[in-house]
Amino acid sequence: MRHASVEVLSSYLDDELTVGRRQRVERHLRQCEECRQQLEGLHAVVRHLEGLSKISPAPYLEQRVLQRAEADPRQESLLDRLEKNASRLHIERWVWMPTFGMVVALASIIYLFSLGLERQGRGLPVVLEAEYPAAEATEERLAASPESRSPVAEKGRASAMQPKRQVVGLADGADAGLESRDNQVGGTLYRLLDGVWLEAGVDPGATFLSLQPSEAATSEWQEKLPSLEELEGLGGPVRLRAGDQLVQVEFDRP
Amino acid sequence: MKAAVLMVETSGDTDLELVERHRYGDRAAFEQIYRRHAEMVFNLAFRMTGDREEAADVSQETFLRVHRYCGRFRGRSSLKTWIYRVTVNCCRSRFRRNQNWRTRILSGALETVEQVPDTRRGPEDRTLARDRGERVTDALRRLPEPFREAVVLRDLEGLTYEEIANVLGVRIGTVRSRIARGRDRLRTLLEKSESCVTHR
Repeated sequence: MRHASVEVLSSYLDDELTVGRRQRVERHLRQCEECRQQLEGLHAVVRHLEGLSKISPAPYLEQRVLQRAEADPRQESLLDRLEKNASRLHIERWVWMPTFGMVVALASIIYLFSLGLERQGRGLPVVLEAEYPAAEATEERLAASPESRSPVAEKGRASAMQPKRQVVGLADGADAGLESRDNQVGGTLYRLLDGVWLEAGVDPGATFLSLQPSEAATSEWQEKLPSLEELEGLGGPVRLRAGDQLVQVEFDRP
Repeated sequence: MKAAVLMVETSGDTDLELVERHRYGDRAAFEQIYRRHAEMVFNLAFRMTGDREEAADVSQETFLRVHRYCGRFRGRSSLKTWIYRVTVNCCRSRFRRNQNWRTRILSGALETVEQVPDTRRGPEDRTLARDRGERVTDALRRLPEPFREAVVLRDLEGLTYEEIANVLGVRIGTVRSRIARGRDRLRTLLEKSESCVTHR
């Protein structure tokens, strides 16, 4: 037989159980001597507590409290003061309350807007740039020479191609953060964020490569994403090998 | 008791009206608030602290807070519940400030409670009742603070579970558990003290 917990018995004493629960407890109590004793023990405690006399505060206390209260300035809330002044000017509550609400709402909007501006001022948004050579020329070369598919082999040629640089958009450094990976190239730290290489740090004039995999890109490719060193100078679109699979990588264009 | 409360309610303004008058700077209104709730605050403070002087200080602090922040009272709960909450908060902050006081409570070195004599009983009964009262008061002092708060509010002040939850800022389930565990702990403490008396 499962005994009633002290919590249940105590709530039973206070009549704080649901009707069904109460009936179940009563059925159990009829059969269980141990629980009856425990209930009686709790009941005795309650009786003892209720039997404690009330004590009157010392008469000097009233004087002391009232004197101290008089010397203590009553702190009025802003709403109190508004209400008081409004009633002096005979302005009804239904007039000043919505007005006050609107003023507060407007102030909040201005505050939030200024926060946004301040954030922008700190340079959090990052300029995204795409860097790519004349696409046709690269594709022709890639098609002509299968061995030139190797990104490393492309590296030397790319420098001669004078890549174009174009701003493609703004990204908030904080919002862009999904999976990240860092890459150090020539003393500059680049960070891979959601498939896009960004120059780490906040610099509106940052130069970096923005790469988007084509639909053919696989998770394997994501796993074996080449380092920026390998890609640097290649321009795009470039083809990369991921295992046996050939993956087309295109530079983001405006 | 109910009749007495009813007389207070009908003899003057309601609590809400008093608060409203107080907000508009009526000193007499605050006096009335004090008189209406002084005994309740003092008793709660006394049962929480176990010391008359401390209870007087807590009462004073409570009413100063009531005086100062009455404007924040919007009538969502009763004024009584709101004042209970202020009193409990005052007790808690004093308790935290004064670790020495905690030690005194646990060592049982506080004054014995002077009970109001009950003239309906004979002298022997009165002595027994006083002894039992002292033992209950002493056991109450030894309860952990959260249990003591819940038990005092329920069994001495007669608040409902919902009101206690409101005063303590906890859920009803927590109130239920604290009351039960507090009473159970008190039962053990009282049984121990009872056996000490019998063995003397």
